[in-house]
Amino acid sequence: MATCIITGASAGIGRAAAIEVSKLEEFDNIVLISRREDLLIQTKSMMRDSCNIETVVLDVGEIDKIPTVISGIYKNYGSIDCLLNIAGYTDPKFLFETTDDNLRKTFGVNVFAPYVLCRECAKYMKGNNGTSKIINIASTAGSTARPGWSVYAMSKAAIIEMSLTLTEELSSYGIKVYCLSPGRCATELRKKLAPEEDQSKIMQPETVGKEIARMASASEICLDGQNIVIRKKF
Amino acid sequence: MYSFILLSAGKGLRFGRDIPKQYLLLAGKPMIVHTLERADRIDRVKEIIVVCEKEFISLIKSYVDDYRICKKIVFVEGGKTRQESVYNALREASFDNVIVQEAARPLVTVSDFNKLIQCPHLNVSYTYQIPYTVLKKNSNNNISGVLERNELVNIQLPQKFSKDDLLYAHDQALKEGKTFTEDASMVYSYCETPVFCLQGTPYNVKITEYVDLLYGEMLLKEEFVKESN
Repeated sequence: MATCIITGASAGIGRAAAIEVSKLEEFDNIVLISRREDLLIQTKSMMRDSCNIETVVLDVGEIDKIPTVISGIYKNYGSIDCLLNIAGYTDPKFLFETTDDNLRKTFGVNVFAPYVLCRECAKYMKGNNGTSKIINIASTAGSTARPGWSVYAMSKAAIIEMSLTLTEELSSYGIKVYCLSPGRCATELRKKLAPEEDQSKIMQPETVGKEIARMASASEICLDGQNIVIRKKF
Repeated sequence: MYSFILLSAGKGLRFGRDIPKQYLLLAGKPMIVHTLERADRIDRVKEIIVVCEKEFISLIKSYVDDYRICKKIVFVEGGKTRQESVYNALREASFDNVIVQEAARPLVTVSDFNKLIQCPHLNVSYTYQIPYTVLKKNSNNNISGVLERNELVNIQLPQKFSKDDLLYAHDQALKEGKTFTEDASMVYSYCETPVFCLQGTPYNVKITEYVDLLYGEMLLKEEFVKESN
């Protein structure tokens, strides 16, 4: 009974990934995590209904709650096989306007939460005999510079390095760690970063969702341990 | 079923660090954890007896929690010698057969342990051929004898023994006041059941000096070590 956990599943890339992952035969249980229950239920209604879908309302920035949630999922389903770290946050500001709270919240959701999720899930994944995957969603912002995005860019750079390091640490357990960095993608988060942009002209979340599902599928075994960029060229 | 004796009471003086080498990091995690995790995955091992200094018990308990080691763990205090440490552990062993392994050999894979268990002989040691010439020398630092290389083997841990045989050998050695550096030689000396030599592997490195740690980390990245885990 394979189980996949998806954070940030209420909208954007997380929702698109949830829909695409539900089309795979690999997973019997999919656990959707987000702060917003009404939107999680909407996501659930868009997914293939032949797999068991559970919604968990959680602000992943509250990292002290994560171990209990993950152990609860393990107790319910008997294994954790795939983790999609997609939840993200940004409040882009110039250096002088960036508050301590902004720093803490961005790093809480974008760095500390994925790290703690990796740690807690890997404790269970290591007993799976080499079939588990962790897919972390970074961003091209993590490897390029743009004024006003410093905190977000720092947090995504952290995810890239976290993914590369965990690839090495967890390889002895057969746990594959992926890092996918989307470029401009039509999400709510992107609207905060680039409100002037015409979202109909840029990459859509469904494109990224399909790529995430491909990485999560059992047939993909070669793209882990690298920062994979996905972007639409104009 | 097996009791897994994990020797971790060594002080690692040759390493020249403040803490024994088995608690130093190898590929990012404490050396002893590599073996704890593997022992945890061997079906026929029902308990892990960790032999260590008292002061390290809480540290190892924290590793057991952090790395989610699920098997029963028994802590036994190390003796003054390696032989005494094994003896202390044997007296706590709950099962008829024991595996003896040391924390300083972190590259032994789950598959290696399973091969040892599946070997039909009762008392078995991994051994490896000696690839170089070994000669005897006397106190004047002169060569004093030639050893026949084909008749020699290098003893590698892990080993497995009947608990009764190994206990008997230890009791006899204690009575005679004899000290041995490992257990196959004791069982050979005191028991009728032979000790079978199972072909070892070149990657079963004992981490003794700093350079071994570097070598070990390099080997851990290799697929032949990963795949058989």
